[in-house]
Formats: sequence, C-alpha cells, structure tokens
Amino acid sequence: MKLHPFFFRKNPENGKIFISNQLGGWSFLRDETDLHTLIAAPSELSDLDRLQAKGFISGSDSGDLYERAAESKMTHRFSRLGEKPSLIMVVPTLRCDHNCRYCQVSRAPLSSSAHDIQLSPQAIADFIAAVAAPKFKLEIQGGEALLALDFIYALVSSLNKLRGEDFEVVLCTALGPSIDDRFIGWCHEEGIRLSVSFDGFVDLHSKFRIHSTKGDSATRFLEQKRKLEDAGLSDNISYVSTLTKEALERGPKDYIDSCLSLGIHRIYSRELSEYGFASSTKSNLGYRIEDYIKFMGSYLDELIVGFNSGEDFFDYTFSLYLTKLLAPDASGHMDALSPAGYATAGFLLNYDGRIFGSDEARMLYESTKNERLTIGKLRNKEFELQENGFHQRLLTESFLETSSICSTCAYLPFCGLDPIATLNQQGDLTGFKKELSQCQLTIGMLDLISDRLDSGALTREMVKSWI
Amino acid sequence: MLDYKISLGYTEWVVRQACAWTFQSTEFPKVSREEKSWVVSLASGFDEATISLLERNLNEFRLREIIDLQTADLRMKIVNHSLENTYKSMKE
Repeated sequence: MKLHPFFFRKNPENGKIFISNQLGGWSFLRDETDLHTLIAAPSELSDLDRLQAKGFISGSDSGDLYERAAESKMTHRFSRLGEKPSLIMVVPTLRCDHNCRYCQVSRAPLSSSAHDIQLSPQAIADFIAAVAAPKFKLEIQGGEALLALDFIYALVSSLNKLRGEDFEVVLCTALGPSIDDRFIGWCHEEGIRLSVSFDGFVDLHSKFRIHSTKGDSATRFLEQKRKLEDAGLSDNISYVSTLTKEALERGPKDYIDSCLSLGIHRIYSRELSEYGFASSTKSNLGYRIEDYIKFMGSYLDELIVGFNSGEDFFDYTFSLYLTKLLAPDASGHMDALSPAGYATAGFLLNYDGRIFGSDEARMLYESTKNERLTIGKLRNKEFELQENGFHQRLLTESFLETSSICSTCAYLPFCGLDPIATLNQQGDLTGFKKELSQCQLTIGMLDLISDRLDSGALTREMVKSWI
Repeated sequence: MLDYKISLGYTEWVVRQACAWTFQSTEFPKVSREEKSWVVSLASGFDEATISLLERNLNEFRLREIIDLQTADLRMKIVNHSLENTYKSMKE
C-alpha cells in the first residue's frame, strides 16, 4: 500500500480531520488516531476502498495511475496561463447617480464631464475582438452603466459584427437611470443580463444607497424592477447584495423572507469591500470576519431547512465554494484561482483607457493613483504596454504551492487568492496570507460547507437544483 | 513566561511553521537555537491558550513533515512533469 501526498486540517465544525489531495479529492477521517494510521499503516484503516478511490493511497500496481492523473490536473491548471482572457470588463463611465456609503469604487458625480470614456466603441471592439478568448463575457461596470447606454449599444453592435454570438453581455446597475422601450427591446434582442444591486432589506437599501436625484433609492429600485418584470425580463436579472452589520444582526431568516417577499429567489451576497470608500466606512458598517462566517453558517443552515420545506431560494455566494469542493476544475472565478486570474483570465478597460489586470486593481488605482497598477493604456487603436516587472511578480506570487504559508493548507487544492488583496491589505505582494480576509473567509466557508456535506445535511440534490 | 523551549527533535521547518500559524504578524516571536533546545521568545510572554495552540501546531507540522518524507519524491516528479508539459504546450 502506497501513501500519496495529502493535506489535512481539523475541522472546528465537527472535530473531524479533513483530508485533501492534488486531485481535488477530499474526505473526512474520524479523528487523529485515523490520521496517524493513514500515515503509518494505511492498510489497517477500515475504509480503504473510499480512500483508494479518492487517490489518498494506492495498491502497488496502481501508483502510476495517480501520478498521471495528478500531472494532468496540474498541467491543466498551469496551461490556463497561456489562454486568452474570458472576462472582459469595461467601465464606460465613473459617473454614478447613487452615493452608497460602502462604495468600493471612487465614483464621480453625475455632472462630471471628465469621467466618461473618450475612446470610440469601434476601437474598443477591435481591441477586445483581438485579445478575448473564443467565448467570453463582456461585463459593463461603472459608475452606473446605464448612464452610458449609447456607448454600450454601439460597443455591443460593433462586437457583434466582429465576434458574432461568441460573447454574453452583463450590465452592472443599481437601476437608477430611466429605462425606455429601446433599452427593453435591446435587452430582449441581445439577451442582456442585468446584475442589479439590491441589499436584501428595503429599509437598509434606502439607508445605505442614497440616490442623488430620484428620492428614496429602494422605491426607485422597486419601480424599475417592476418595469423590467412587466416587460418580460425577469429571467435576465440577477441580484447582488452587500451585507452590512445591520443585515447580519437581523439574521438570515429575515434576509431570506425579505428577498422572497419581493419575488427574489436567487441573490449573490458579498461582504463589505476592502477597497475605495468602503475601506473608510468599514469601521462603522463592518464586522469581524468571524462574525460574517458565523452568519454564513446560520444562513447555509436556513437554506437547507428552506429547501427541505419546499422553499426556492439560494445565494450564489455559496456556489463558489460548493463548486470548488465538488468540481474543482469547473470553477473559473477569477479572484479564486491559483495561479491568479489577474490579467490572464480577465482584465478591465477603464473609462480613461487604462487597462488593469482585475477590477480590484482598478479599485485600488482609483484610490491611490499608483501607475504601477496599470498594465497599459489603449490610445485610439494602439495599445501601449506599461510592463515594469510588477505584474509578472504579482502573478509569480500567486502560485499558492510556492507560498510557505499556503503550501501545507488542506484547502490549497480548492483555493486561489486575489494578489491585489494582499497588496491592498498588507502593502506587499507576498504578504502573510493567513491574515488576509479572503484567506480567513475561504477557510471558514470550506469548513462550513465540507461539514454540512459530510453530515448529509447538504445533499447533491440541493446543489444540483441551486447551481 | 517570556521564553518557551522546544525539543531539538523538531526541525527548524516545523518550529517556524508552527509559529507562523500560532502568532499574529504584529507579535511574531524570535526563534533561536540553543545547545539543547529551540527557544521561542516573546516580549509580552505566552498565555496558556497560546502554548496549547503552539503545541498543537508543532504536532500537526511534525505529521506534515512525516507525510512529506514519505511522498516528496512523488510530489516533485508530478510538479516537474507538469511544468515540462506546460512549457511544451505553450511552445506549440
């Protein structure tokens, strides 16, 4: 019997030993005694077949099979760096009609004339068509994307001519600006997805997302939501929520009930950002990461109870971790890859022509104006690379296998860190990763989810219906 | 207690990894080797909970080291072949 490389961690949720390996296989051992037995005398374990099937041990005649499978997995992961980016983010304007207290971008006032993109839609379409993956997602961010609709119509039209139906379009919006029939018809025709900001509770949405011209922001959101639904666009809308301390204090049951009362069955909730204005307001609106993880544990249990009683509600924040555990190769979330997805899985074109390796790099640039964060600049049709070694080092530091802190972590096969977060929170690229909020969140969430999967509370049937 | 002594039976890698997972970066201890033991020194001293966590981490990293001793050759072989394959596919 041959032992293969593996990682382990005592899960604080159930006291069992979580084990994982380079194949992305994972399992639980009952206790430390079983862990010692696996290391010293694996053939004495009672569930040999399970451990063998998951690649933790092999018989003397099947060792090469593990080696080839592990090589293939690792080669696949590294080879991704040679592929073209599949997430193209464009910021046509930094202007915004909301004044959110936890905004992660340094937004510009509505009246500003200096914060709209000056490049022509055709020049941008030519650039994107040349550098994007065969199938890609075009994500229009802001500011408020709907303030730049003429530009967006022209960009999508130009890209259609160059790339046909090879791409999907997502508009990120808080639904403040007016919506007309042309926009509705265009959404239908192009199959546009709308990623709409809504914070789950109507009163908290009003309190933290202040609309500059249209009065109460939640009333405006509900009016616009109704308009889109009446126009038959319900299936095109997804909701994104930012959780504040007050939302956590109300608890997950109230959160779910509030969403369901508005006809929202799917939402993506995220913690307060560490960037832009959010970094300064976090002390008032924020919470400790352990309190957030505790909330997420109760939230997951509520989702399970809801599913078992026939309720149709899910939060996509769990899908990232579920996918990592159940199908590690299928997860392409660019903030959670090792090596990082920075500039390789996606990039962002800012309103001023600057190109960033990720949205987080743009956010950090907007608050620091540090030019090292810029990969290059698009001027008319010419792309000027501003490579200074910084971005290469950033990618080098993102191989978690080479991090002395991460290389022994049981969640390494399922993890990936945003390298800009290390720079933002700790001021350098290597960092002390166990103190990063993303590291603590990943460990906490995988502890929760692996425990619920192991106990049988969370079933594959639930996951299949949710994702 | 300002100094905590650890047997030299533990390697430097195990001692330093255990410290990395026990202490915050803001209060990282000094680690030195004396004739008969490793000495972990902290100006503010150690409470019982910290010692308990450090001892648990020492044991866990000792186990990780044993796993590594048994499987390092295979792991290196996998990494080297994967890198070779990746370079080859990128050249093509």
